[in-house]
Amino acid sequence: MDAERNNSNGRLERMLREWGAEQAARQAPAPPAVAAAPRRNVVAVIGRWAPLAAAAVLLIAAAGLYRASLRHDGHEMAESDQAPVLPLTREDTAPAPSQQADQARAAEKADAALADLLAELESAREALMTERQRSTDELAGLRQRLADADSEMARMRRMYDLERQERLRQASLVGQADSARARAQEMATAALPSADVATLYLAIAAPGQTGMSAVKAAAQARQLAGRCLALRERTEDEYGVRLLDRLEVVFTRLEMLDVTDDRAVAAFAALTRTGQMRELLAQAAGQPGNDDRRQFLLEVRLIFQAVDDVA
Amino acid sequence: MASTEIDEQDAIARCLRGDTSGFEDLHSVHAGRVMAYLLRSGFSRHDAEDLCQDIFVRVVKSLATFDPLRGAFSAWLATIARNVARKRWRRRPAEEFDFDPELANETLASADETAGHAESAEAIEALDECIERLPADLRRLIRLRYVDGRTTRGIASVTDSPEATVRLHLDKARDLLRRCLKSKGIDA
Repeated sequence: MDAERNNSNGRLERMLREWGAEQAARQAPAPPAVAAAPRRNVVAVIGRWAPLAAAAVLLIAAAGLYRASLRHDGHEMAESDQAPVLPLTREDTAPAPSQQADQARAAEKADAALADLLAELESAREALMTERQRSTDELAGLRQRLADADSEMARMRRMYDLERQERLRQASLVGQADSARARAQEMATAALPSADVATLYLAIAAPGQTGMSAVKAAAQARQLAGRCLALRERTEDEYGVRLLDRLEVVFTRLEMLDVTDDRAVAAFAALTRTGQMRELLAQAAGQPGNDDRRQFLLEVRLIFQAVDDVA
Repeated sequence: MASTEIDEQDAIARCLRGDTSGFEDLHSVHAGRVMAYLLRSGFSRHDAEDLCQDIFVRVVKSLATFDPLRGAFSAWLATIARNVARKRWRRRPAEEFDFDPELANETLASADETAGHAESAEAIEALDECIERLPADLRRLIRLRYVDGRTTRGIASVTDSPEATVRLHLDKARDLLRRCLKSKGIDA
């Protein structure tokens, strides 16, 4: 039973394969026979030049025929030169009637051949002129298309250049804005109070005093050490805490400073410059914060400015 | 390969003499089978056309070496076609497994090769009618398998179905065909 089934399957499979192969061959698109194309071109070229070749052959044949007829006349005349010299009559010098007929036929043939040749040449010339005109038209069309393409390319290039310039301009504006913003921030944070302002501050905070004693008196009068501690308790950011801790050290030292001891004053002045304290102070002054803090920091900077002036 | 209506030896002789009509006759008779073989081998139509032209250029170039005493022209052409296709296959990706090379080769099989077990024209005609009566989806599977020469994997890829489903549906289609042929008096 299985064998029968297998045989049956085998036959159906065979039939399907045969059917499929036939269908595939029937449906397959036949590609063009390209290998024959070059020969077709040769035939076309031969066809184009055949009339000219035929005309040339006819011309050569006609010329040969005409020259042969002339040679024939000359030969006969040469033979007549060898004959005894007799007084010649008009009839003697004229060609015989049969010769005249041959010459006339040859001339007619030559005329006909020449006429054919001229007709062929004219036809070939016209064909060439037509072909030339077609080529000229085609060339003009191609030139026009090339010009159009060039124009389109130039237009696209202009658009591209404009777009590129606009991009560059925008990038430049963005760069300028960034630069201006950075500069403004730098100016806001790094600008130092002038010496005049510091002097004015000392004059108000510690009237009648000068030098380091004025600095110390101003710090005491403005309670900078106490305000520093108070601010320290209210400050939560790590950066601010660190700064205020260091300022607390500075003002404690200022409280205990012997303003008559030049070495102590110089050491104190050096303390205000250690650990990039001025930079930290400038940055902290540029950051947002409450008025107390901003004012305190400003006064600290005025004090430090005065210390620089004294030291 | 298909029986030729032209005088093949005469066409070969003309082709050897440089007569383009000889080449065109050979091309018109055999190009369809060669294209079918290439398409069933999984080449795109564009590639198949390129290869077909390549094959016939080779045929023209080496036609002088063809010896009719050693075998039919179709078999000689089939050898060239297989060699050209095989060379191209070396550069092909894995899609070639989507096509059944055995089925592709059958397209190029010469009349001599199939004479022993060729089915009658009536049987093939009856089969064609039965296939036309199949439901559209099963008919499509049969065409993908036997006309396009795809494997079940290739069919699964085309129809976006699992291979097992394709096998099942092909079996079902064959069963329907067997019954249809039986009703026409053909035991398949």
